[in-house]
Parts: sequence; C-alpha cells; structure tokens
Amino acid sequence: MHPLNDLALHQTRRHFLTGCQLGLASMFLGSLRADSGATRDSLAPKRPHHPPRAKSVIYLHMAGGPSQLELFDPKPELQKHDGADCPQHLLEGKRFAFIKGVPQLLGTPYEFSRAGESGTWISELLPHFADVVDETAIIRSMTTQEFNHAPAQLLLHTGSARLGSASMGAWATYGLGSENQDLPAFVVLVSGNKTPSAGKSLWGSGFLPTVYQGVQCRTQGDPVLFLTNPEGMSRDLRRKTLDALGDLNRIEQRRSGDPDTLSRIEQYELAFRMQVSVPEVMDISKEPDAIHSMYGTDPGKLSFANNCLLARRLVENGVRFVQLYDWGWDHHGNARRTDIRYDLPERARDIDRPVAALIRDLKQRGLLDQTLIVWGGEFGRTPMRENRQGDKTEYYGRDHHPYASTMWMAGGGIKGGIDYGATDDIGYYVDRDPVTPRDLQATILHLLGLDPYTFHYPYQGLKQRLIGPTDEGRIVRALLA
Amino acid sequence: MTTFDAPSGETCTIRRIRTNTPLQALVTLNDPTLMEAAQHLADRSAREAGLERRERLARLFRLALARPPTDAEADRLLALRNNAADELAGDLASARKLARYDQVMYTEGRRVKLVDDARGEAPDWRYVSADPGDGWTARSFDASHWLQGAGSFGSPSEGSDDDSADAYSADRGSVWDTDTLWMRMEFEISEPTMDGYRLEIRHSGGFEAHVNGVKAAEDYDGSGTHSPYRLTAPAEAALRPGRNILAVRAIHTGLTGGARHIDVGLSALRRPEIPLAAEEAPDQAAWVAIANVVLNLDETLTRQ
Repeated sequence: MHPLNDLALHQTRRHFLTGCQLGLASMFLGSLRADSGATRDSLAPKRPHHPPRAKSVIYLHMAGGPSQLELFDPKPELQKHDGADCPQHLLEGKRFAFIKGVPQLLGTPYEFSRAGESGTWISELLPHFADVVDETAIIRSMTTQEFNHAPAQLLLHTGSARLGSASMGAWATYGLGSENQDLPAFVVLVSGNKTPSAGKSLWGSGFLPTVYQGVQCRTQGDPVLFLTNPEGMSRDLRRKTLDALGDLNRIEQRRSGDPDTLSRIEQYELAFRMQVSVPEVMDISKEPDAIHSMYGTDPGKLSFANNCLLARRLVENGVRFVQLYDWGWDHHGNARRTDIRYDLPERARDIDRPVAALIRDLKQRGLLDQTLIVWGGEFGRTPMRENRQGDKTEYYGRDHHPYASTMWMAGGGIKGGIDYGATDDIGYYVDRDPVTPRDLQATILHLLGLDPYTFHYPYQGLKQRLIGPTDEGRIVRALLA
Repeated sequence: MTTFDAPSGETCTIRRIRTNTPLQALVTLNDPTLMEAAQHLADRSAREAGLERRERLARLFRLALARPPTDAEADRLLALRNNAADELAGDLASARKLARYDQVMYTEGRRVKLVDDARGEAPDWRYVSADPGDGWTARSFDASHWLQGAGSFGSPSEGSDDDSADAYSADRGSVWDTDTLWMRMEFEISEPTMDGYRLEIRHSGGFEAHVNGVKAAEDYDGSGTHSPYRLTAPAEAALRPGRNILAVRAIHTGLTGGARHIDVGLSALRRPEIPLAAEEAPDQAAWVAIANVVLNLDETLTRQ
C-alpha cells in the first residue's frame, strides 16, 4: 500500500479527508505506483507515464545570470553600435534592476568562432565547450518574466516566482522515485561560496512530502557530516536503536496522523544505509588521474569541477536528480569582481573544462543517452552597459535582462548539434522560437517520462503542477532526438 | 546549520522551509555533542529516579519530552535495553566507551608527544640537503652519515643576514637554506593502545611526511602556526610497537620569498581508562542507547 494511504485509516475528520485526498492522488497517478507492492518506501522506483528518454538529470545552474552576449550569442550589430545610446523604444515602459536614464549599447570584448560540425557560434571563453558542442542543443531564445534573482530562480526551479512550491528535483523524485535506495534521490551541490539568492527553497519540496526535498551535501571536506557511529556503537546496535526509534515513531504517527513522521522514519532508514554507501560513492579522490585532469578536479577543495565529477558518480549510482549551483555570474560591472573583462573569464574558465569533461565522461560510460544535462542561469544580461555609477566607473558590466538569454541541454533525449531560437540584431528580444521556464519544465518532465499536463499533486484545493495552472507551457519538440 | 537548511542570513527569508533530510538524522544520532547529552541524560535519570527500570525510564522520557511514556513506548524502550545490554555484554570495550562517552570524547591529559617540536624539547633530527635517492623514508634506511641537529629548521631570505626576515628565527635549531631538506627521526611507540595520531607542522612552503616508508601527510600551502595533519589510513596501519621512523621532505616553494622554515612534531592519544566493572558497563551503555533514541523521537506538538 502507498504509505500516504495509511492516513485514510485515521479517525479524525480532518485526517480522514486529508487521507482521502492523498489516496485519490495516488489513484490519479496510478501509473506511478511502486513497482514492488511490498515496499513502503516513497522513494522506490515508480513507473513513468511513458517511456523516458532520460533516467536522471544533472542541472547546472549558474546563479546570477551568465551573460549570453559574452558566451553564446554574438551580435555584429551590437558591436557596430558599441557606445551608442540605447534606442528609446527599447526603454519605454521597462524596469531594470539598476539601469536608470538612457544607457549605452555595449559590444562584447570577446571573439566568437564557429564550433563543431554544426558550426554554431561559441565564445573564446569556452574553448572546451566548443569541442563538445555537437552533443548539445543550444537555446538562444530563453525568456522569463522575472528580472530579480530570487523570483527568477524560483520561477525556473519551482514553477512559481513565490516561495512554497516544489522544486523540479522534488517533482522528479516524487514522480519517479529513485534507482538507488541507499542514497538521497535528489542531491544538491553548491559552489562559488554563496548559496543562490532564493536560498534553500530552490530545492525544497514545497507542498510535496518533505521526503522529496533536495539533500544538500557539503562540497568541501566530508560531503556528509557524522556518518560514523559514535565510539562503542556497533552497526548491529545502531540497527537495534533504529528499530526501536522506528517503532516509537510509528506509535506517535498513529496518534498524530502527521505524514511527515513517516517521511522522518524513512529518512532515518536512509541515513543508516548512507553510512555505508556515502563513503563509497562520494569520495572523488578514488578516481584515476586521467579523470582528474580531464575535469580539472582537486579533491577536498571547493570547486564546481569537483561537483561535476561528484554529479557523474551520483547519476552513475542511480541518483535521480543532481542540482548544481555555481554562484558568481552576476556581472553588473560595478566593481572589478563583477567586470565582464576581469571576472567573467575566470568564472568561464572554472566551468568550461569540467562541463565539457562531464559530457565526454558520461558519453564514454554510455550514460549520456540516459542522463539529461541542463545548463543556464535565471535570466540573461542587457545589451546595454549598466554603468550604475555613471562616469565614475572604469568597469564594464550588464544589468539583469529577462527578455533574452541562452541555455543549453545535452544527453538523454536531446538532439545534439542544433541551434534553437534566435534573438534580434542587438540581442534585446527573442526574435524566433521563444522558450519560457514553463516550456523548459514541460520539456524536462517529458524527457523523464512524465506528462507535464497531468502530473500533479493536490494541495489547497488545486491540482498543483510544476508548469503552473495554465497550459501555456509546451514541450519543445524541436529539441528532442 | 546548513544541514538543517537554515537560511544563510545574506537575504531575508519570509518563511523557513520545513525540512527533513537523512543528513539531519545523522547529526542528531551521531554528533558527539548529542551523544554526550544522551550519556548525561542516562546518568541523570538514574540519579533522580533510581535504578528501578520503569521509573528510571519514565524520568528519562519526561526530562526529554515533558510527558511520561505510554505503556507501549515504555515496553518498547525496555525491550531495547535488554537487547542492547545482551549485545554489549559480549563487547565490554564498546560498552565502556558508550557508557562513558565523555571520556572518549575529551582528550585532555591523554595526548602524548611521540616526536617533540621546537615548542618543547626540540630533539635532534638526522637531515641532509642533497637528494638521498630512493628508499630514504624506509625504516631500514641507514641515515647515520646524515647531519645531526635540532629543529626547527630554516633561514632568512637569501642574501639577507637579517634574522627578522625569518619569522621563526627565535626557535631555529639548525639552518636550512637549500630548495629541499630531507629529515628523519626515530620514535618509540611503547603503549599498544594509542590512537588519534597527529602531525603538527609549521612550515613556510611544502612538505611530504612518511611513517615507516608510507605517505602520511602532505601540504604545499604553507602554514604560519603548528597545524594538525591526521595521518593517512595506510600510514596509521604502518605504525608498530617499538621503533618507528618519521621521514619528512621539506620543500621551498618560494611562497614566503626567500625565507625557509619547517618544524615538525608528532603526537598521539592514550586510550582512556574507563574503570567500569564488567557487570555495570553493558547496562549503563544500554541506557545511553535508550537516551540516544529518545532524543531522536519525532514528537508532534499538537498533543491533546
């Protein structure tokens, strides 16, 4: 029986109704039922709606909003008009995070050249990525409605710009469970010294049971703290204490009817299994030297590269959703550390080699076909120089730009070597084939074998969905292999 | 607090998310602070309620949860006591550690110097500044023809007679003014029950340390104070009672300009002596296990 159905056994009207609702949910999602009727674990593998193209996802989020104009989207017209005032019609009725008055157009200081068999344009800042570009589908027509970090990140990852909704990884594990019962199904790794602006809600379970929330592992030192039992506590004795703890929590759960107590029992059991699995899986130092030089990894240090290698080990071991955040892409140009000439090349260098290595490494292991990689930020950057301090600054940067940005996808179910969508001559608006966060979410769910339109969870009287209440989100079929 | 998904404080958070991960379970089960709390909870329940099991359990439970246990809860926990005590009776060493967890955790007075450094007696090392070739880290290597002198080792910047250019000139025992310095030291392990081996090294550039020919630690970032380095597992396994060899290669990386410096020490922990009788230890340890469980119960606040 589905553990949530247990609730229907409860006496109070409120709990009875809650139980009914959840029970109906599992009837609606009948096809999501666990393969094994015997298991009570909410993370047991579940059958998708249709045959999946990807079994797991590695989502690489560049928090801050990486500049598409420096990395992926060259604009000769913008170069030509570098320094000219931005045309008035592009500013009327617009709000920017920092730009005031009439800003000047800003060309890129970087060279672009054609890469791969597809001959797509890639910046000199991404030489390694250029070598694997034929594995990727580049979407130069992303748009969003949010121009500040936290709401834009929330919209992208949870389907709502406000707090309280479930993140994509939580939805994926709710829908599909996990292939490995000894590791968390949804793992979060953060690099760049700061968590993203929207904080931990980006990997929260929102209205879904808390068992589906992302588990943030430490990316420096031990990935998980206190894995070892206290001195004197053998694994046998730990098992006995957990049996007693489970029994007592079940007594409590029968009294309170709180479904989160069931989640908690499961999390203690997972913790017990992780005591064995984590030292094995999460130690990247065991990788051969060739792999370390491929990724540019340095075990024990905080780096995006280490997180990429760890992500590969995790999906290899059946983890459903691995979410990486790399902070530091907010290049406003109000200081040297946010200058597109000084800092952006360093950010690009930090991710370029590991990202290319991740694609190659998954491919050589035969895992790329079943692993979807997504790369992008929460929005793009303006074709205009931000110039927050006016004449007083010598630094160059761009403001937040919701109207256009670039993302790319690779692997599981994605057609490699294609360009999708385009922006106008100066990269201000999307000119062709816009892709919204809802389109992206619909496409990712579809690739995982889930129907984005029927996949839902009942909460507050609504059928909550990742793609939101309307059907405007669409699967971008042109990206599919 | 990251493990408990606390907001980072850089931005406002309107609502903290409800969170529940296996990482939190590992903390509340295994964190030494909470284990020590479990031990003291077990001790206090005996002190205040006596050794009659059901009364002691009721006290322990109330101290943690502000309510008495139900009969079902008490029965289950007392069953755990019997199970745990039976198991621990077969492993008295573990029983003693669990029962007196605080003595395992606190290391005061238990750390012994195996190789003293320049803060202490600064014993003589064997050292050489020309590459001694392969095998110089091995126990069997003969270094009797090497130079002999006390640590610490170092020199001020090249071409400078000004000792103040070496921040550690105060305790310098011997001069090191080459790119690399090879050092060897014999030490004795007389007690079989030591653990917590730790190198303490202050150095200006890089070093590689070996124990009985096995790589024990390395660092190339320099450190201005005596920093602790845990021995690698293979190095710890290579230790033996009696004579052992610590071999260190100090490398001048240029981080500090011309100045060179290294000072090396090695220490270990004597295992705690826990004078608990064989008939007491399993019972006391079992109560710590019970307290560990009670401190991890999921208690819903909406109790009638």
